[in-house]
Amino acid sequence: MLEARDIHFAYRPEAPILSGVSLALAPGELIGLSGASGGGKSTLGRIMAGYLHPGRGSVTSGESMSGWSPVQYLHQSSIFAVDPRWRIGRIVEEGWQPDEATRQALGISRAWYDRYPHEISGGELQRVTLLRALSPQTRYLIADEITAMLDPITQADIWRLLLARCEAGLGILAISHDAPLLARVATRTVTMQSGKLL
Amino acid sequence: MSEAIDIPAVMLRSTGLNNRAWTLLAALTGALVIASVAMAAVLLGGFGIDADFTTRLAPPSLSRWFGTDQLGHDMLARTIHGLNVSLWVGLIAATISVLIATLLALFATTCGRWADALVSFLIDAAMGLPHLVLLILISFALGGGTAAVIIAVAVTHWPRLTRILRAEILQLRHADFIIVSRRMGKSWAYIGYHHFLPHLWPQLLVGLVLLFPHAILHEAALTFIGFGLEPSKPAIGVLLSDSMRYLMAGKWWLGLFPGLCLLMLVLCFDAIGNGLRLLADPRQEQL
Amino acid sequence: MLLSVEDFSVSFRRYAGLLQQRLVPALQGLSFSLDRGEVLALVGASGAGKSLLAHALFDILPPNAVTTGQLVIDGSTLDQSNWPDYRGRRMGLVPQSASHLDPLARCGKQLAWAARRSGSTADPQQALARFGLDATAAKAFPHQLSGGMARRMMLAMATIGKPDLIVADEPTSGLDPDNAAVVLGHLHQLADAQKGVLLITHDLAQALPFATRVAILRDGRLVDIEPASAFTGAGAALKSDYARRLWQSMPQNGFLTHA
Repeated sequence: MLEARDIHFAYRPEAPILSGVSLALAPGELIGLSGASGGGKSTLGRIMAGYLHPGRGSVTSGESMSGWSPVQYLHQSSIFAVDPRWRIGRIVEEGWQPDEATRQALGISRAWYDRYPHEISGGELQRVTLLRALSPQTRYLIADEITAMLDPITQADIWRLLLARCEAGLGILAISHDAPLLARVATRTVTMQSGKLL
Repeated sequence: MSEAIDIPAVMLRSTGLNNRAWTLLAALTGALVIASVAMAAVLLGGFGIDADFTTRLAPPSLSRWFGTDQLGHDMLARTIHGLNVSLWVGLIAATISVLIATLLALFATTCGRWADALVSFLIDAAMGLPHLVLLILISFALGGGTAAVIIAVAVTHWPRLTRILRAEILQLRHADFIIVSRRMGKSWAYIGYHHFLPHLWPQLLVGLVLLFPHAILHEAALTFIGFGLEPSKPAIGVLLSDSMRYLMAGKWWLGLFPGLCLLMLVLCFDAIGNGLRLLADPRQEQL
Repeated sequence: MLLSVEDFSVSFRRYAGLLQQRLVPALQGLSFSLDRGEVLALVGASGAGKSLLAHALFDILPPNAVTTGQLVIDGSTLDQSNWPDYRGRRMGLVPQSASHLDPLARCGKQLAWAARRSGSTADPQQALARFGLDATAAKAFPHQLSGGMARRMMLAMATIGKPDLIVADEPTSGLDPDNAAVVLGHLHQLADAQKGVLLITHDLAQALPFATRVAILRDGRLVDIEPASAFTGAGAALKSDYARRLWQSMPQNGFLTHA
């Protein structure tokens, strides 16, 4: 169980971004997180993934925090999640050796491996970061608008794979403003408004 | 799944040299000029240093391109010796500066908030003081001479690079790909070597090369006004200040050629710096 | 015909290795036309090259871009000599984000600049009112506007010179569905007023209710142009296979079952 309890977060005390948010994600569950932009969705995602520390409250994932983190985070702008001086092959294999089946299911070509991140398209790079995150040690995936800028066909391909992983026990928090998408993929959907879950 | 599409690329028929080729050619030329100055100084040995009173204050001619000075020194040989002295002073001072900058930047970014505040204060203080005045003070306090000049130049040139390195490290530390690496269980040692270093060494190298011109010019300036190298040394600053007494008498070559050569040396380092910047990060500048 | 794009291509000079340059194609052989009174949605995933067309129309491509083919407006080909007469006067650009506004000037002032640049005598008040903005918005600095208001402000600026062609580059990115619908509704109204609107977007579903025709871009090539009305049901009316797959892959439709 990945559990966020009573999370508060603010860069400036007079403008809180999250005020008292609690959310629990179970293995094999796909929670959709929707809400208007600026409502704090991404901040909650980053806190649950350990990218940001909450001002108050706690996040527990029930597993030790050394080594590969059981919670991995993916963002719409994948270009920031890769070292611009590394080639794709090295990026993919930084943490673990992905299996051929997943690589092919994501349509990632070996030909990209000796290119740099800026030499492949945003959609291609998004799939690269997804492959990198899908280690067997990953128990929970925070997917922040990961298919928002992709074409519907690629989007469907990615969600087909993620739903299969979910069935096999991966817990997914899908952050998106795309209501029809969440309706199709999520076990349940929660909405966030002005730093609170409705 | 949609097939991975590889972009077909058309090779351009090269029409003359492109911008990059020019930049690298200039850098190479600069490096060659500097190397030949250093080599020529060794080959010349005592020529240009020992006095020859038979040929005093001779204007430029085919046999003596830069003319001779009041002691009969060949000015070309003397200028080369002077540039060589500048090179060494510059090299040592710039290296020390880069070391100071690196240590301070690391200290500021890894030892907590107070360390960062302290380093930022030092940077602001050092940049707020008039550069030349500080140089004169330090050199004077240390009693002049080569060591004093090197120390004075070294301890006044780190602030800019420290600021750049500090900003670069801070930016990297909060970069998503560094956090990703942490979340994949990588140690800080691994991240430092594999993620930070490749981003930092180009800054260090370019910083070192671009510090050279500053160091050389300030050394010459210090020496020119008499707080620097010993008057017996064939330094460019000494040549220029000596020439002052004869310029009014129409001996223009004493000042003109050493001055121009100093300018050329500085431009050479600039060209090398630009070339290195390009080599270090070829993603930039697609023109 | 208001706008004709004739066999238009954009490539970038890039270095392959250190010194060798090569041309990397980004847009290839684009041909289509846009008439007054219609909204043409140019749809493609990120990286498909759709923004490049907008940039090319306004001559703001990066300096290492190489173009071939022609962009023709009202029968005259755009080139260096007549761009100043067209840009802002006969064609207006609604840029991608509010960061294209000057952060240090009040919006009303920037609107007045836009009017002066285009030689327009239109009343700024009226221009604002048309997009549901009032005097408070004119007094505000860009960062004080909400995302939707900033987008409408940029619409007012782009249209104050009464251009015939309006190019909107991702005008709804970052907006919630309600605000996005308001902005797209305004674009649709402009078309009703006999302007031509080129709507560049990655969101087919969002654009459909407001578009007349849809041009689908994939990896820099135009796959197909379909009437917006053909995107219905199972997509049987769609001419191209790719368009049908796109349509059927949307979460609103078959999604995972069609690929």
